[in-house]
Amino acid sequence: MSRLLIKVRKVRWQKALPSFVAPGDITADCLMDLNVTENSMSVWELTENDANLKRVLTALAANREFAASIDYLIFDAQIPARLALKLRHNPGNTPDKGANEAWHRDLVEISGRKLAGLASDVFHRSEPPKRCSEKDIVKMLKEAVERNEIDRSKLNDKLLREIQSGPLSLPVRVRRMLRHLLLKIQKAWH
Amino acid sequence: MSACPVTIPVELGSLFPPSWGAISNEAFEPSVDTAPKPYTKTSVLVWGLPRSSEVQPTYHGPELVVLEANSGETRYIEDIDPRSLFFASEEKSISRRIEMPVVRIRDRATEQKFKLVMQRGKEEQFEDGMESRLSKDLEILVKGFGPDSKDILSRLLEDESISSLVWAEAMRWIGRAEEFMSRSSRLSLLKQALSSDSFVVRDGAALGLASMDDPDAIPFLERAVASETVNELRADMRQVLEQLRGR
Repeated sequence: MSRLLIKVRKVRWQKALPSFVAPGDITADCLMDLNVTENSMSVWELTENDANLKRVLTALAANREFAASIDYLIFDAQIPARLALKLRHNPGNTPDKGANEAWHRDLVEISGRKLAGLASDVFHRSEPPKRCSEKDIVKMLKEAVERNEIDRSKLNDKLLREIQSGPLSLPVRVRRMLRHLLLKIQKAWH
Repeated sequence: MSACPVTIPVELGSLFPPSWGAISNEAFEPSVDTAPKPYTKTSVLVWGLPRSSEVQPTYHGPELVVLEANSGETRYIEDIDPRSLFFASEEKSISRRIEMPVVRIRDRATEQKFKLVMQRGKEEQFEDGMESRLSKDLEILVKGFGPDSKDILSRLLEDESISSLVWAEAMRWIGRAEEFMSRSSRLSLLKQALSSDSFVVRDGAALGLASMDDPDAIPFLERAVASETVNELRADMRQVLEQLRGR
């Protein structure tokens, strides 16, 4: 059975629960990450051995206004299936057309009770969320643009600038270069 | 500068013991009217001490001055502009000015603007990698109030009425706010947030430091990793640490 990926905020999925949460329950904050629109939720299907993980994360990052880390959660597709949630093949809406068509899915016909059940099952039966750093995201986006996987014209201007020049501005990079140079000179001197 | 005739406003009379006082001194406004807006100015007058008393002021940050008399008595005075700190003998007409380095006064009205923006942030749903109303408001405030924004944000970090989720978002913004705040101010705020009681704020600070990608943060991030109690967060901080070390 395949695995599904959603974007989350790691801090909402901490395994150490506050004292008011009964054993087996979860915090209401987890529900905030299950973004439901018209009773359906956007998910990404991972291929065997998560071979497409990087590309999916890059596609998600390309949809943003600026580069930032991505927290994500991976869960077994059996979890929504057990709740009788249907997985529908609908193209995604990121600048990576290939990824949109190949791996984007919608979980549909989600009721309130099923949503709470999904959050609870995902929380208790999945690995903790993971984080892909901002620096890795910039690198992955840059590579994806070079491979033409991503439609540059669909990228936010700010994000495109960050991909082209890195997240640091020119003065910061110059200052850092000078500092490295100074350190090298000091080492050589001694 | 000559001594300034000062009267103690009646409404402040009950706030201070008979031999000490801190008052707003409008008479000195013209002479200290060089502080950049929006900072207001206040003078401090200490009076009623024995004739032989001398007062030694000591700074404890921009908002607090400790006055210690040679008799051993101390008083704490907040919200002053130390450029215009006075003390007088028991003869009130003999007052002297003590020249002090410039330290800007705490401006509660400005602070309130920042606080309102932070409190309003609680109504927002933040999304990673997307601008928020909070980030736009912070940008406007920090542009408007300049370097002193750092002190205001630093004080507000101790304010428990502001949501930790909002602070986490603010920390992420600070991490990438290189156009609006100095590197040292941003490092200082993120360092402070790393020792927050809330792991959500600490996580935001770690993400802010990852955005800054500044190796100068390594020493205090190392300390934060060593003292972090939440395992997942400690692992994320280590990831940032490795990034800063260039691995």
